[in-house]
Amino acid sequence: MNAHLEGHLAVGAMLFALGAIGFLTRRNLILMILSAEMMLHGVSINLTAFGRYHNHASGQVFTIFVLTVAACEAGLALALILGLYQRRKSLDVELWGNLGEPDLPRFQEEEPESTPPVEAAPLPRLTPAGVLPKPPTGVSTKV
Amino acid sequence: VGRSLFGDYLYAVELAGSILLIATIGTIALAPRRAQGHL
Repeated sequence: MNAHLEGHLAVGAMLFALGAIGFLTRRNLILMILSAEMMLHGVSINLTAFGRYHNHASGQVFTIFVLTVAACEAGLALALILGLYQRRKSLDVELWGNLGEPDLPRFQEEEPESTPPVEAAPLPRLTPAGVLPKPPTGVSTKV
Repeated sequence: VGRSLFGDYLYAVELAGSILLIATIGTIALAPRRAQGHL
């Protein structure tokens, strides 16, 4: 039974990494708190795995406390999100970007082009030679 | 687990329950008022 410690730790680390990536990349408020919950549960999987590895119940006890705090946090976060949504009528966190420090440069979504686009060299043109082919019959010719 | 929860960690359990109660009250106080019938 102790041989599964690495597996449990791998699952916990995977949950934590996915939650961190999701928290940093999502812009939807609800998806962001969902990712935070995923990080929390990755940590509690780690706690239960080590509690079982040491044959001690404190890992599961602490996990129960983590679940309690997660429940409180989810309720408060949903209430806050409801308030934020009613202010801006949208769940996008980018709309709240003006809450940051005004003297710091804001994060730019797309990097401004530092150098103007290089003018492409004109392609060589061949001088037309030979007979102009006849346009196909039956088709209205447009020049 | 139960013996450990209600033995060694009894005060922590009480504290967690109090936190849950306070969070519930805070959430209800924080949730925006809405008119009857629509969000």
